[in-house]
Amino acid sequence: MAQIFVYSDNILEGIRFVDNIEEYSDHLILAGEDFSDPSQPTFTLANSDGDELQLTIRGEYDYWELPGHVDTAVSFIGRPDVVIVDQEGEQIVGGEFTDAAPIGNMILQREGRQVGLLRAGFPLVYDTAYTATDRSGDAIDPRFPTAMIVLTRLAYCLKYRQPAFITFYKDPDGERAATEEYDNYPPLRKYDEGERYLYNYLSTQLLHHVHDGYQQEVEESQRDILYQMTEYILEKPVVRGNYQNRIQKDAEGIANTSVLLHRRESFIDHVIEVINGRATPNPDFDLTQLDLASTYDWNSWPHKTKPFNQAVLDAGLSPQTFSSRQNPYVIDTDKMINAVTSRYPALASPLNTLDRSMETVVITPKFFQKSGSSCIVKVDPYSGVIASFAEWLARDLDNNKTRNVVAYSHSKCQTKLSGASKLRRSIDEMTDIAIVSIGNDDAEEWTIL
Amino acid sequence: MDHTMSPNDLTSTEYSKPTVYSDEATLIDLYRRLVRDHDCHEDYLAPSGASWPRIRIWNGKTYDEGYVNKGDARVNLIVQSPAPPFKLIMGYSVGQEFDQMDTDYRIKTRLNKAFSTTEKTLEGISNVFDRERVDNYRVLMLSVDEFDDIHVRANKLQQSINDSLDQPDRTFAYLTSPDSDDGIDRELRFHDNFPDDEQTWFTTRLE
Repeated sequence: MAQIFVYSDNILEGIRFVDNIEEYSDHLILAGEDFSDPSQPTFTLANSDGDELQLTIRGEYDYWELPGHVDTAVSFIGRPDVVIVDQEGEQIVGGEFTDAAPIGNMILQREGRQVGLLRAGFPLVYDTAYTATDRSGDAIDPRFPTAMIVLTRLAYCLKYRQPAFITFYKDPDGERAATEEYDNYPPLRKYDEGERYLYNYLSTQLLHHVHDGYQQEVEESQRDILYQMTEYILEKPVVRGNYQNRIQKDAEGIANTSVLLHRRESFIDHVIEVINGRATPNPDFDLTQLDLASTYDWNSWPHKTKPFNQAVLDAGLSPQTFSSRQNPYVIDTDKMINAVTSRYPALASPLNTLDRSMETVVITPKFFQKSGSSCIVKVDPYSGVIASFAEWLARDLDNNKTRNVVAYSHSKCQTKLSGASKLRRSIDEMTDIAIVSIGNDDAEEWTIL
Repeated sequence: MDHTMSPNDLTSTEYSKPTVYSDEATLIDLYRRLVRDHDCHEDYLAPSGASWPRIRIWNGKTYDEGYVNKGDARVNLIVQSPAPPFKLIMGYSVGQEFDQMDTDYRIKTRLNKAFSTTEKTLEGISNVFDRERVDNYRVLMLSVDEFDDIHVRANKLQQSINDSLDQPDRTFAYLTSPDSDDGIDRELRFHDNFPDDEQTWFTTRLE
């Protein structure tokens, strides 16, 4: 029987994976399970044609000798929930299965590990909720994932020529909070289909990898997921503001998004062709570029008051970003270097390493934070933030570098950044320079990480 | 070693044995025997270090659900018999704390906090405790690697449950260790004051 190995962040993720295939897939059922070695329980999955798979779950990555592709994915920036390979260690699929929608500060927290999966050659799935609740205040407020989380994956599909999917399920608490808050909620959706789409894709992907002959079923499930992804970003948001869809609200400055509105079928057809190896990406569908007619002047508080950014703005430059929300900015590199180094000559040496022939994406994380009398490193969400924006906005459809990437952070304190941390790896892998100014308001000290 | 340059066979000895016989193995074995092999309901399952926020309790008809925060003290396993009077079994992986648990009072504090916080969370999300009889049981779980003696470890954990950890009467220890035939050995040890007439329910399912 064909053997498949599920490496996972903890053994529970693997067991949930199998249980969810049993619950949601139209293509596979659980035909048997063997827990005689509880370190690596084995499950037999079968379909109505008699094709069988044997899935062995191997928990916590640290407890196993990892095959090459798994090791590459896991050691890039962060650890995905599951990474699935065949008996020879060849890539089948990897993914994240969350219990909360990506909202607020943690929108991009899981991006580093997902970019790692793509770079290691794994098709990617990310299962999350339509809504989440913000419990930081007195009330339980509904929150919704930004369109960016979908757009980046559509861009990844074309860049990596392989699936990079996000699927949505219904979170009861989030839906309850949203229904109470907004009159026109919930929208018309195939609410309960997301999990079926996801586990149909995963089960057909497993079947096709080891038995062949399931290409049509794979593509049908891919199409279902792509419809759900585009449906979400084309929905009219219920939040304040007169937005027609989530793209307009969250990412108006991204070029070519009109194809999703006017040529949705063609776009999905094209993605299917590309991720199944029958076409190369069409630039008309490139979602990695800015549309200069629709970008926003970057004016993000409190980042605009920080020394590096203040120097840029004081020089009369107009850094651009893709929505009115807090996001990185894109700027002419030559003008940025002149503006910053005229005020802070100490930065001339590192900034002059940037390629002046291309623009620069400036990402504004906060690496360090005072906590009482100590100074802590904010690994999350910034390892993911850097990975996401650098991957999305600094590389083109062919995954060639198109912009420099600078991460700039201002903090009141600084401490040692561990060489083993995923933030260190994200900086090393995804940025050209990471600059830190330290001080209360102005830059009393500069550090290059 | 550069794995990408050489073919892998993930059934070979190099890949097919864990480098560490971890807490996960005992946790999964106990979960499997109570939930998958018998008729208990799974209310919560999260290996040490995992952030699994959803927690629930079976009220006899459906699950009452709630959340635990990533930083909250909590147990690793909650399972429950299907019908009243409910047996509510909460499990805590002792892990690396085993060697210090008799001498470091903080371990007892941490362990008790995990149980009490979890109990409080469950009481906050369900009124099943008011409506039905619910008997609470604690289990301390330990994985013993092949170089150690599971019987010695079981004796020590049983003694600690009675003495240094000062656990409630309805507490037991559950240990597993890999055997020489690719299976595992198991040890089940009860608190000295564990009610005799209640032990059978556990021994029939776990021994």
